[in-house]
Amino acid sequence: MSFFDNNNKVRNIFDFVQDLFAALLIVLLLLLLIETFFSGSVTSNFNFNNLLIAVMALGVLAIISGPKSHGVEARRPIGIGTAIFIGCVVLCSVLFIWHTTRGIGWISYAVSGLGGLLVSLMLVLVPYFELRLKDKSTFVKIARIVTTSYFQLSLLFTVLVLLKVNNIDIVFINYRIFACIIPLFAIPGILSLDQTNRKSSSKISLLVIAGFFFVILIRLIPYTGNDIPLGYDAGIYKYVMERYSAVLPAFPEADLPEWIRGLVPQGFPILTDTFHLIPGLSAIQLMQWFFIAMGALLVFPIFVVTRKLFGIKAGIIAVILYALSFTQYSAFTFAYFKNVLGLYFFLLAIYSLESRKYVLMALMYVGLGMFHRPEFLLFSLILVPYFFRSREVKLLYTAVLVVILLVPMWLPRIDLYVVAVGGAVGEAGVFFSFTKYQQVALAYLPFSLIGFIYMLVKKKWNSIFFAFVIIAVIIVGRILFYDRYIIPFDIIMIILAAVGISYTLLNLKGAFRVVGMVVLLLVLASSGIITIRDATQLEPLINTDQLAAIEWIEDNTEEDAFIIASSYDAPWVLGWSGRKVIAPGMFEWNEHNQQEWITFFKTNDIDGATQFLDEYEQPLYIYSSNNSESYIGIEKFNNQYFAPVYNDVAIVYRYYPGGMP
Amino acid sequence: MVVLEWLRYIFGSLFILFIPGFSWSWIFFKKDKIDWIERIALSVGLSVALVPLTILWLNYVFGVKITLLNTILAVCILSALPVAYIYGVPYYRRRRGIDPKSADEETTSEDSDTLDNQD
Repeated sequence: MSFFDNNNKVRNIFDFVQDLFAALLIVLLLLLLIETFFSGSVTSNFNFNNLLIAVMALGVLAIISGPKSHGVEARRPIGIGTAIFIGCVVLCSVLFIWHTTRGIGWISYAVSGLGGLLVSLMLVLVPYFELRLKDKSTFVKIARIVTTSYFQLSLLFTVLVLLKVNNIDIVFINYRIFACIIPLFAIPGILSLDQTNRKSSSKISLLVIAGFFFVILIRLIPYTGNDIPLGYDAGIYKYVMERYSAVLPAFPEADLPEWIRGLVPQGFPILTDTFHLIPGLSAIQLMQWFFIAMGALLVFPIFVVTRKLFGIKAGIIAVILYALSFTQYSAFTFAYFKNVLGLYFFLLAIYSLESRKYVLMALMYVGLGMFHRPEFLLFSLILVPYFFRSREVKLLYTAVLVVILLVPMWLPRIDLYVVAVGGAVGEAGVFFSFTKYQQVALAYLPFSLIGFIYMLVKKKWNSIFFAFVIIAVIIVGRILFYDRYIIPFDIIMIILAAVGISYTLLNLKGAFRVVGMVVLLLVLASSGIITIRDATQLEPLINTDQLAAIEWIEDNTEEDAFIIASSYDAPWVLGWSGRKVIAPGMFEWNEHNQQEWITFFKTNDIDGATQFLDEYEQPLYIYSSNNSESYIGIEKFNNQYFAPVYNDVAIVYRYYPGGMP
Repeated sequence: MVVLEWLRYIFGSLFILFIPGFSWSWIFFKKDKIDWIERIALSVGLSVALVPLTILWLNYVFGVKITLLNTILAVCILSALPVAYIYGVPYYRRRRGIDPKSADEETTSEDSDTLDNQD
C-alpha cells in the first residue's frame, strides 16, 4: 500500500489528475490531427508548447501517483470489444500516417503499415505490462510504468525522426527537447539495472566484418564514375605528399614553409613516403584507397573499446552506428585524413589505458602526437582527471616516455605548435556546426544521453566518461577548434548510444525486447538514410573541366610561374599544377590581407588590379574556375595586360605588366 | 604487369600497415588474452605508429636516409624484434642455465608483464 492509497483525499486528487491527464492528452492529439490536415489552423491561434508542458507535468504527476484507487484488475485476455477498439485506433493511425506521408509516393504505404503495426503493438503491450504490476512495491510499479512509457516514447520519437529525415517535418514538435526528455524516462530502468549480459560470441563478431565492408562500400559510392578526390583539403594533401616524396631520401624539415610545418605533423608525410617507396602508391591513390581503408578499419578499435567497457552487444551496435553515421561520413567527404588516423590512435589509447597497458598506450599517444595534435590534446586532457581518479604513478612514467619519443619531432616546431594552440582558441575550425550535428545525430541523441546517464548513475568514471565531458565542454563552451571536435565527439556519442540502446532497450526479454529491436532498426534507418542520401548525391568540389584547366597549367606554364586563385580553388591549383599559388590567407607566397583581396576580386578598375598584381614576381597567371563559390570578376582582365591562354569552363589568364607583346 | 603492380600494392601495404604491428601485438598480449578482432585493431594501430616513428628517429637522430632499401630493412627489423624477444629470451636463459621453468613462466603465462601492468 502506498502513501496515496492510505490518504483518501490525496488519492482523489491524484485520481482527478490522472483523468485530467488522459483528457488533455486526447485534446492534444486531436489538435495535432486537425493541424496535420489543416495546416496552420491551430498553431496560428494557439501555442502547442503550453499545452504540451501542461500534459507533461500532469503526466509526471499521474505516474508518481501510481495506479488508480480501484487497483489493478486481474489479467484477462483481450475481449472482442477491446479488439474492435484496438482495430479502430490502428485503422485511424494508418490513415493518419498515410495522409501525412502520401507525398513521398509508394513508401507512404509501407510507412503507414509499419506505423499501424507499431501502434497495435503499443496498445497490446501497455495494458499487458500494467497488469503485471500486482504485488510489487510502489517504486517498482512506478519504475515499470515509466519504463513502459520510455519504450513508447522511444518508439514514437524514432518514428518521428524517420519521418523527419524523409522531409515530413512535423513543425510543432521540438525534436531536441523531445530527445532530452526521453532519457529521463530511462532512469528507473537504469537504476534497476544490476548486471548486463557481456557474453562473448565469435559468430556475432562477424558482424564487425560486415560493418567493415559496409563502410568501404558506402565510401566507394562517390568514386563510381569519378576519379577526383573528395574534400577541400585534397589538393593540400597531394601537394604535401608530393613535396616530401620529391626530396627523398632526405627529409625536408628545414626547407618547409611555415604553413606546412604548422599544418602537417611529421608522422603523416613519413607514412605516405613509406607507402610511396614500398607499395609504390601515388598521392591520389593514397587519398582514395588508403583513406577509405583506414575509415573502414576504424570499426575494429570502436568495437574493441566499446566491447571492453560495455559488452559485446554495445560493441556491435557501436560499429553499425559508426558505419551509418553522417558525421563520420562527412569527415571522409571533407578529406580529414589526419582526423581519421587520429581517431584510430585515440580509441586504441583509450583501450590500452583501460587495459592498463601503459607502454602500448604510450605508443598510441605518440601516434596521436605524430599525426593529429587536436586529439593528442584531447587525450592529454582525459589523462588529467583519470590520473587523479586512479592515482596511477605509471601514467607519469608513460607521459615522460611520450615526451622523449616526440622530442625530435616536436622540438623543431614547438614555437609553431604553441602559436597554433593559441590561435585555435575561440576558433571553430572547418566542419559543420553543433546545431547541424544535433540534427544529423538526432536519431541516436537520446540514447547517447541515456548512455551518459548510465555511467553517471553507475559511477563508471572511465575514459569515455571523461572524453564526453571534456569534448562537450570544448564544443558547448566554444573553447577551441570546437566544430572540428565534433568528429571525436560523435564517436563518443556513438559508443554511448550503443550503451543506451543495449542496456535499456535490448536488456529486457519478451515483447519489450521486440520493441527495443524495432527502435534500434528505426534509429539505424534514420541515420542510414541521411548518410546514403549524401553518398549518392555527393560530388567533388571541382569538375573534370576545371581540373583539366589546372593540368593544362602544369603542362604549359613555366615551372617557376605563380598562379593567382581564389581560396576555394587554391588547394586544387596547388596540388594539381605543381606551381606556386597565391591566394587569400593561404600559403607562403601571399602578400595581401583579406580586405585587399576582396577589393581585387570585385574591382573592374584595371589600374587597381595591375597595381595589386605588380607586387608579385613574374611569370604570373590567374586561374578562374567560374565556380559560384569562388567569384573573381573577370571583366578587368579584358585588356592589353591580360591574355586568356586557356578558355573553357575555367579560364587561365597570363599577366603582362608592360602589356601583351 | 598490371597484376604485378596490384600484388605490389596489396603486399606492400600489408607489409607496412599490418606486419610490424601484428608482431608487436604479441609483446603486449599473448595468444589467448585477446581475440582476432583486437589483434587486427592493434596490428594496424601499432604499425601506423611504429613505422613512421622508427623511420623518423633513424633519420632525425642517426641521419639514416629514407631510401627503399633502408625502409624495408627498418620495417623488417621492427617486425623481427618481438619475435627475437619472445623466442630469444627464453632460449638465452636456458643456455645460461637460468631455471628454464621460471623463464618460460615469465614469458608465456603472464601476459607479457615485462612491459605492462596486469588488469
